[in-house]
Amino acid sequence: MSRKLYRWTLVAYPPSFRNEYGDEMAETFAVGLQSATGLRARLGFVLRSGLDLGVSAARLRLDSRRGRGKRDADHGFARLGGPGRRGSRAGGDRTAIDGLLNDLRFSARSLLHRPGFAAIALITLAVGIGANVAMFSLVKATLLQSLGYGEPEQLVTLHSAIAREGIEFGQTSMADFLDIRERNRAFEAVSLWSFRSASVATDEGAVWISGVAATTNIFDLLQVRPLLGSTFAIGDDGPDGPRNVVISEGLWNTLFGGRAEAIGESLRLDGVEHTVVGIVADDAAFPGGTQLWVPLPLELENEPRYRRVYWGWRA
Amino acid sequence: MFNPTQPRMEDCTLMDDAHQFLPLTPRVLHILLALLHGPQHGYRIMKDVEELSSGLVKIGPGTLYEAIHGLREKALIEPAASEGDARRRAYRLTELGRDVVAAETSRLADVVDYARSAAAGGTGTSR
Repeated sequence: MSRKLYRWTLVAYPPSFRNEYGDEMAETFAVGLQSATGLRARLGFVLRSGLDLGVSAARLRLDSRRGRGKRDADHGFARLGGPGRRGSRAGGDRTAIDGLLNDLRFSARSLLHRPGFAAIALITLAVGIGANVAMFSLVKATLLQSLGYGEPEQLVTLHSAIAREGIEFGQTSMADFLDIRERNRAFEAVSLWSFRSASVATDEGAVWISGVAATTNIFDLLQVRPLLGSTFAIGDDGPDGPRNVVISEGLWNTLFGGRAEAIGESLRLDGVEHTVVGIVADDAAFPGGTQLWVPLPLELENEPRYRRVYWGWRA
Repeated sequence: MFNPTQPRMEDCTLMDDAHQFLPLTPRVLHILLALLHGPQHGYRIMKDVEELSSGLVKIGPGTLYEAIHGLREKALIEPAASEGDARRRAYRLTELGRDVVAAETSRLADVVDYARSAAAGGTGTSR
């Protein structure tokens, strides 16, 4: 994935250069990223490579536009050493900052004198910056941003495979879940959930709210603590248990104006009265975007109604 | 007075071509040094440059291949014989490239000698 993204950002380079070195550069980037150990090192490598890409691409674009003679400074070589315009500086001691500032000064002069070229340069920069932003956004979302659950690296999703139908990641049955929970040795805990959206009665009429029915241990498994109130308690999923519901921060603000008194108030889900027992932060919602949670009764007869997936807590 | 950009006479007979590329920047010098012991591919060059310079010179893939392109055009390096995967093309020094490394290191040695001599209150003549 990272190799493809980096390869895509090479669009900032002149086509001839990209065709000649693109695959090698992407490979070098991928190996470098793979070799970096730890999040900090990987992030540093990505940032350094992105900045390096932007500067060298802009330099090569400028070089090709300048149309300088091959002997002088083909593709930036003279700036790195040799007989070119800047190569006469004794000792070759120009720092990276010096070089960048010189390039910026030269770029400013070029842009002022050649509006047509300025437009091309700006478009090139826009593409390069856009590509970098896209790459860093992905890095942030996949590597840096927390899932909102405790020890997220320990969470795994379990699916039932249905070989005869060729389904690798299928739904599972309540019976299978109960068997797995009983015989489980690999996970600290397992939980079962299914989509359970509901019609919720409000002062303005009924609204459709995305919800989930889950085993009562789901929040403990995710290590999610409520902003207010509590989550499910043992027994909530029993046939005679209380009809409790946990709602998201967003739904709490919408329906109850963020009032603390919402805990203990009733909420009609599909015409059935439930009691609000807790509020969970939006960024800790599981699955993302869920607005309410109700206990999932561990009864075999419930099984055909919902899609179910296991969540495991690896020991 | 010693002039660090002035090649020594004995070098001129061997390295007239090489001297036109001097002085080298630290980046180019380290890239060429990384290839002294044989062909290397991009990532290995990048790591060697960092290690050879004790972390003072760090280059990314963009700068590296920009430099490689320039060095190839100047015929200081060339692709080594392909060993299969085109994405891992290795590069090696040409004869001219070796001459340039030798000329630059000789020049730098003169600079160091001069600096030491000057610091010690000497006359500042080269070796």
